[in-house]
Amino acid sequence: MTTVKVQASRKPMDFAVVRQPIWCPGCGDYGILEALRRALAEVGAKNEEVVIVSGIGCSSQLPHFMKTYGVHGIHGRVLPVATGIKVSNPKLTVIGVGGDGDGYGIGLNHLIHAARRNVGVVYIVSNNQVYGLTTGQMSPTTLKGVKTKTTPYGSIDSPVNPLALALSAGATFVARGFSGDVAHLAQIIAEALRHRGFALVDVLSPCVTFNRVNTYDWFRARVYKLESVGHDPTDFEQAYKRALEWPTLDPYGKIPIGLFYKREDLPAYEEEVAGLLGGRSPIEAPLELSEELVEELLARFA
Amino acid sequence: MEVTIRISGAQGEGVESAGRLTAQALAKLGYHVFAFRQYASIIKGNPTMFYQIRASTTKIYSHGRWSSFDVLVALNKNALVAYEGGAKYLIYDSADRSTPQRRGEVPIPLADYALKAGNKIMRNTVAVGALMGLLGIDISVLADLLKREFGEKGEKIAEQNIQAAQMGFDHAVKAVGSALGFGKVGEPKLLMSGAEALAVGSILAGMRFYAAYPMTPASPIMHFLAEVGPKFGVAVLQAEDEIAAMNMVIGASFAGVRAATGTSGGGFDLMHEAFGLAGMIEAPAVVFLSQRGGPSTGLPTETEQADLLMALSPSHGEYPHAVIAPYTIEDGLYAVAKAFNLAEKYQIPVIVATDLYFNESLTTVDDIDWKRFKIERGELVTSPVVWDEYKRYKLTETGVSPRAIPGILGGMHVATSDEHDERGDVITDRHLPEIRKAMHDKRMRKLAKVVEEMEGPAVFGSGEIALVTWGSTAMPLLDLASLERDVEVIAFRDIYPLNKEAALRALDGAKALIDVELNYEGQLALYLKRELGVELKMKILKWWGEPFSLDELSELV
Ligand SMILES: Cc1ncc(C[n+]2csc(CCOP(=O)(O)OP(=O)(O)O)c2C)c(N)n1
Ligand code: SF4
Ligand SMILES: [Mg+2]
Repeated sequence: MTTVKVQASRKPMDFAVVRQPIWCPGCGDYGILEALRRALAEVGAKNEEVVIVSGIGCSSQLPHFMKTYGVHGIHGRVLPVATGIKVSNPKLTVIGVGGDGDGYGIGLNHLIHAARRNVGVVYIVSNNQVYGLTTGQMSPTTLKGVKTKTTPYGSIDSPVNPLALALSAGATFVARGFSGDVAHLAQIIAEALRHRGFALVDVLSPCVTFNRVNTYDWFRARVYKLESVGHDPTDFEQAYKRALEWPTLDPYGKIPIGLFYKREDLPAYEEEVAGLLGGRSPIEAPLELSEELVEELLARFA
Repeated sequence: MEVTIRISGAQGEGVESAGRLTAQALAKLGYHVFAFRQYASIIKGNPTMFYQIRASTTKIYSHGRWSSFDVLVALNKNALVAYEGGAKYLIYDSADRSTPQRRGEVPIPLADYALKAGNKIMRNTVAVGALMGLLGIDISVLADLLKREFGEKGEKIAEQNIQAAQMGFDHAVKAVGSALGFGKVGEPKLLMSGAEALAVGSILAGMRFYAAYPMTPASPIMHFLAEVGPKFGVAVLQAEDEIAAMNMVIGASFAGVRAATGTSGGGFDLMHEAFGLAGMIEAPAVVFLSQRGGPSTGLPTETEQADLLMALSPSHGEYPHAVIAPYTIEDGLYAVAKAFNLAEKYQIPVIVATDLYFNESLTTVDDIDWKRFKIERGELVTSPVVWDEYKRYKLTETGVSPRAIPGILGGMHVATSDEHDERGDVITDRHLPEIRKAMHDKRMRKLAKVVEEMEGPAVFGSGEIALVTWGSTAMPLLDLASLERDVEVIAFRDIYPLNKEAALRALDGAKALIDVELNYEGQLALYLKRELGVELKMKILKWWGEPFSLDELSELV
């Protein structure tokens, strides 16, 4: 069951607002914003049926630049809020957006649980390998050896590998994009929007102000597209191997982007919940009970 | 006509089901019943846990006395030795003591009968059978309950249990006759726990989403909802932690569904940040704060009321919220209905504060007042709006703004944890003190409207001595007031924001005011002093995991 209805000729600008983004010029988040608008247009989403949930960080400002519903919540809690929305009203297109600190640091727990539940949320992580909004501290994806404000002698922490983690946790759609390739990223997000269940889209998204290591040029020299090497996204083992390539096996080596893994045969969490509720979602369940139902409820205590 | 029964044994020995069956039998016969369980944080062990069941022909609100009772049913020797001093009648295993030492003792070969009926684990059923005999309750009442408990699938088990009960029954009748004569006195009454009252109240109040992480004594709310909720359209999610639970509730609420979570102190600690988020983005939410002994893991299976000050001010910063603490289990039904209405009308998070004594005790509930379940959704936008004009956080006189939910054409906006303007746009990229002033004031002034809906304390009885309390401690106090002349009970239920005039009116007069609470600091007294300038100089406080009992209260007062 895909939750996105196809509507005639929607344009990226249909999702734009007057307010201009407040990111630094050149920030990778511009690429994510543009790609998201294009993807929503491509799948024909209706503005009022889209909810974008974010946490706290530079990247989490994104909902403010979209003509959709949004929750700009607290740091790291994107996925629980998104889960609450999607389960309550599965007809909505629910998108999570946040930083690497937000999603792989303080909120990492929720990524694993959203993945294993297979809740129908597209989760886009702006992975700039640094804490942008708090002015340049180490993040969970900062590479070992990289100097930041909190690692002045070079980071001694190994980075997390979000894609391998998500795959291990049972995510049914795992992809990586690059802000420097908006067209490619837009395709990935559109495919994620059409996916049944949870989709993680990790985006290499340079912070031009606080990350002088992982720059656009740094990524351009390293990224390659999975589709160009004949990767089969239905093969879990292949996907896992590709996921380990970077940053786990060679943090300074080649970086695969594109769709790592996808399977469509598992029910989404909101479908399971609706199944328990007799085929309806919470928003469809009447607020007031019929007399018979009230009696049935009270009969349990007789 | 009244009886108090204590059934004691080791955890895992069947005290739990014996207590429940006894309470159910008495409720079936039309008695008012209250049953309370004292136990420890261990699955099997603790030789002397007990279930105390009190039944009466008049309305009762508590388990009654602590140190004396009419009947002790002891499932092991430790229990017998621990509590026999307080009992008039004793039912125990003759293996633990073969010859009675005084009148009223009924030794029964519990294990032998159980074995004869098919399985040693039915010792507790034999004991309940004997108890029915002593009480003079027809065995068919118990037989029906056993049949229902084991259902059609367990027909054979039900039969064995009935046989076991019959042997205990016959033995007791032969030994002491149906000494206590508890026949049918009225129509069967509904019997529910406090947690079940909260759950049922929620379903009736239109809650259709519940997310929580297990924690005693809030878990039974989720257990009930998980089993029964789906039939009524309630989605029940077990979250990965309390942080997730509270954020899920906010998500559901944003989507337009009435939503709640439940936890105890430690879990609520974890929810604070999201609780404040609900305040900031004006998302209705209800939290069942089920207190237990703190701090930290504290007394996980014992009762306390030490989280009042926390409930008054969870999370950082200033934002409006409300706190309601039902003062009887029946009132729990209505308190919940009110909580959901307040949450939605004023777009605020609301705490329903109870405790272990409240959640886990069973009581009979009389007629339910259906008028009190009217669902009020406040400023919910249900038809399309013009996007260019729509202001989710419009500055209004009441502070309440029109709330559009996803799906409503033109209602697109962002609910923002950062300070924002009327449209919900984040303003923290600039210094905009005027907008901050206006928005903060808008949110805070909702409290002035909420307080208009807050009732003053409930007052019972009248007298020179006024016992001032809140939440579940009102339950034993209500019983005390019906026993002792000259005692008045002032029970605070709609706690925050406080209806000060009504509170002062209740506390006014030459009465001697005594603060009665289950905590060390006298937290209600501190609060009333802060809000009203009234000092409750005398205090009866308790913080060692027991609820107040009638005998101890009589003495202290
Ligand atoms: C509970 C909590 N802890 C810390 C912060 C401070 N904080 C705000 S954003 C942030 C990290 C931002 O990094 P990231 O999530 O990677 O987003 P980016 O700015 O890089 O897009 C931190 C630590 C906070 N807002 N809340
Ligand atoms: S600090 Fe970095 S992440 Fe933040 S807006 Fe600037 S470039 Fe983007
Ligand atoms: Mg970052």
